[in-house]
Amino acid sequence: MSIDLSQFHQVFYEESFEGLDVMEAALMDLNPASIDDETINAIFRSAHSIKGGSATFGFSSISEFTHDLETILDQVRAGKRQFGEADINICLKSVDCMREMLQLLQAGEDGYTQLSGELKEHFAGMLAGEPAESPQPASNTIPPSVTESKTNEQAQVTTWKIQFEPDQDILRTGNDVVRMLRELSEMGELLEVNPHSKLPNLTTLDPEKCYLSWDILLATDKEKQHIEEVFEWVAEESSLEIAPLTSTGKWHISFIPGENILRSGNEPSRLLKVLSELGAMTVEASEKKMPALRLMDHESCYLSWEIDLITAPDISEEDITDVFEWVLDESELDVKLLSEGVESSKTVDNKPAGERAEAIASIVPIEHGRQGSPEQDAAKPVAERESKPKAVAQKKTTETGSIRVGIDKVDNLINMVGELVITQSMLGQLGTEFDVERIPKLMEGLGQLEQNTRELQESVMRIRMLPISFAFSRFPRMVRDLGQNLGKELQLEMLGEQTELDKTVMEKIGDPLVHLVRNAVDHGIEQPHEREAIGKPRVGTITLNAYHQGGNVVIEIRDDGKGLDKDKIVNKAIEKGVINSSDVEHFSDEQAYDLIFQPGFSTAQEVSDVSGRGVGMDVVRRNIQALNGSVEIVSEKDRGSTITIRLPLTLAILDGQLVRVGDNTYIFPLVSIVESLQYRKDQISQVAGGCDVFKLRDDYVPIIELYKTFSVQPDNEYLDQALMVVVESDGEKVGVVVDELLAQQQVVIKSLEQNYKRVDGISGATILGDGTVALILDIGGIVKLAGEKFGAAQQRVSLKYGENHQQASQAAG
Amino acid sequence: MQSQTPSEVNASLMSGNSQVSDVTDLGGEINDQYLTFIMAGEEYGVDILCVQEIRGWESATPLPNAPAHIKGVINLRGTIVPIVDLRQCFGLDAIEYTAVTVVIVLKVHTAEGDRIMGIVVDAVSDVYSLAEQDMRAAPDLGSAINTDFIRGLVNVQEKMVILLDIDKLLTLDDVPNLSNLAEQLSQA
Repeated sequence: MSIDLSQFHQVFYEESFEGLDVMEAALMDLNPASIDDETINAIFRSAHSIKGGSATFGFSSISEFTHDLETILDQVRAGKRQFGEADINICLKSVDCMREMLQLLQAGEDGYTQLSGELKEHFAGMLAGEPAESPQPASNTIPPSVTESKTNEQAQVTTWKIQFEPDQDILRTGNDVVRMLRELSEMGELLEVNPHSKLPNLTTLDPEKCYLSWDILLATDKEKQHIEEVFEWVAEESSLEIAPLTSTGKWHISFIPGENILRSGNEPSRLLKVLSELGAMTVEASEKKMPALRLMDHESCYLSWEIDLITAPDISEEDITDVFEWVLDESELDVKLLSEGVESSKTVDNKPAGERAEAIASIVPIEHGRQGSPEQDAAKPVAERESKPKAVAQKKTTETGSIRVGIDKVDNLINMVGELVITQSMLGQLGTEFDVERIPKLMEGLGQLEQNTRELQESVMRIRMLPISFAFSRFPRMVRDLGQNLGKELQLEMLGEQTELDKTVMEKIGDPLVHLVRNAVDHGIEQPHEREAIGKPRVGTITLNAYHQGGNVVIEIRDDGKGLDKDKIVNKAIEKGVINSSDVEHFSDEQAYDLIFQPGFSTAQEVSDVSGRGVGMDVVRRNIQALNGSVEIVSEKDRGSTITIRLPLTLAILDGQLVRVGDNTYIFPLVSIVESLQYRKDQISQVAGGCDVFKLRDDYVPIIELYKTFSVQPDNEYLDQALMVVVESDGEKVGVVVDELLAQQQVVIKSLEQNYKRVDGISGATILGDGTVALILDIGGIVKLAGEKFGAAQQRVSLKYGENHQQASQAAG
Repeated sequence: MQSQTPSEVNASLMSGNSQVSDVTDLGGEINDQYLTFIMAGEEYGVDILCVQEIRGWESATPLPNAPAHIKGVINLRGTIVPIVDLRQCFGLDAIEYTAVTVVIVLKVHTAEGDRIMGIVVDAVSDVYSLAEQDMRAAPDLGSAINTDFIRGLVNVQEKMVILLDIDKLLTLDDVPNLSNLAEQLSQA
């Protein structure tokens, strides 16, 4: 049974990226002044999982790197190391580095980057220059990565005796002993691996239980804690003893018993068992003397044994021959001392590692109740490593985006589908034996169906919705780094992180947001001393705020910096040739601010790392517009600026109020409607300039006649007695005159842009129950459109006056 | 040249690929097939591979403040499809839509991807197989008229057929007045 590990790679990447996010967030939380154990633990856990995963999949670049990081974190955790601001920075850099390495691995490359090399050297330095209070001996501080790559000449190779007896349920918890052994074998040379079986008889054997325990001799330059780490996950439920064998004797025993040995009451297997008590051993049985089957005597022994035995140093040759005392007469016994002490491991070192590993693997699983074909298992890691790049490269091309959905959402869906099925069967039954008396029942069923459909629809939509914290999460880190870079003191506030947004919209809004936050830090917030000079707190505040408004998600990026400088912008625009100096005189603030969205525009005095290259705001605006969103700037000198992004909530569905104007049906998003009323002449007053307003309680609300705005023929053009829908757009109320209010219903938003283009005042279209198309109104657009028409009408009026008059009014407008 | 009802043409469209012999074959190698339609007595052709379907006219939902030649949008099996009146587009007099007024639904390739659009024409005419060499380039009518959207002219049974490049035609921002295009072309 071989498992293709590459199928889990994607999961590993996802989990690792998540782990990195956790690390990053925790590092951000870390206050160097008072190291919080829980936070350090969180970082350590993430690092450890990434290390474990990468080692499992053979991504040595990551596992080595993480290992060093983990060592440092471990020392911090144990209070052996000071952890300052600089160390946090290094760790954050490592997070970036690992992210990059993972991306490389994902792309099928080996994952070593220049940064990773530098950082590793830095780690080595940190570990070598360990503070004096560290209780560990100096020799231990040489980072393993260095010793690993060099020969063992300077490292202290110790042989460890590991007695490992796992809990029987170890396999159920997802731990695999083979993997641990493999990990051990990567640490050094596994001299001996002796499994002890406690296999019950077949009828009571539970294939999911582990009946084995192991005696392992490991020659490695690593410390005890590294060995313990291998067993970290299982240590609690297993008995584990790790003791150093300061020096060992290694014996080779060749034992060829006489054929009649069994008849004399001796049993080789018992001899071997006694022998095994002297130390760890590997046994190879040879059947050279085996005769043909028909000549075989079942009471004779045809086997001989070659035994490799590693013992404690105080065991002498005599002790070994003693074991064979009873059979010496009739057997050939050859006991040779191969090596002693450190020498022993050196001898073993000469063997190619691969051969060793294979030998180990073939020993281990033979008695492993679960595993069928050990050879396959052993051969697999090698073959896999060779084929890995190809597999990853393939994945790259076929990779599809995935989405993590909370189990509650999925459960919810399943429930709904269940209800839908019940409703369906109820209606089906009703249909087969229908008569007029059952109409109420039918109506009830249809009502239920409607409810089911709506709930199902909502649940399905919710699957694609993610809280905006996914997009916000990168900012604490970014703001912190930028602040350090630019010498500014910053604080980031994030509000409304739970606001949900469609996943596709979220993905596309990330980069524009990054850009805007950068701008806020770089252009907006002043240097601390400048801030103090004008009586502001030293620490600049950047606020990210997200909330729902109408059918939109609004994201605000607010800073309390110096605000936009209108004159500077205008001058720069003239300098760059974006506008003519003659245009400037009657520029409003909005028009001036709008200039920064022009291509090739930047007011930063110097081009910095952060911003000021002049590509940016135009791209931001284009991206947001591509999402059907809009972006606006409000700014006040020395008080800061606020950039407001408005995005459609989702591509999908909306509660709508159908209205009729003439022959046309339009849809108002229900959320934007404040109220509907019939309006009376006495409530209307004309404001100078020709715009009608009416008094809604304490408010004066401007009136828009939809038929004029859209140039369609209405039922009647008289405002008296007309129906008006009061809608809210950008916090402003507007009354829209319509001919008739029709039904309220949910509509599926269809894009007009897909086959046509954007239409002012229309946010999309939908298909009504009768198959016709109705247009969905964009309130903000209508207001703008009405304003334009209003302006145009005003201009036409002014044309009637004399030439002088006309010029005057144009200049004013 | 005979006028066909939409369903007849649809039938011939469907059989078009398998039974090329049904289609008027102008000899030589077959390069492209063109669906032709009539407008104000002139015959125009579009590449048949762009034609998605042919429908009878049904009322469209008008778009506010749209140019006159955009008749509105219809629901084509869940997709919102704009309808262009090619007559008005070409500056010809608008005529009353009747039950036999035909909408040709076309797939237009644009920079932003494929778009589906419908064009209203007087009647659908025929399907021709034309070889490249039968085609004459559109004559230069001077800078006054942009003829980019004309793929070429071809003579079929002593009658001129104007082959349109719909990708260019329907992505033009403002369509030139072609009220006397045919006249000018035959003069040139």
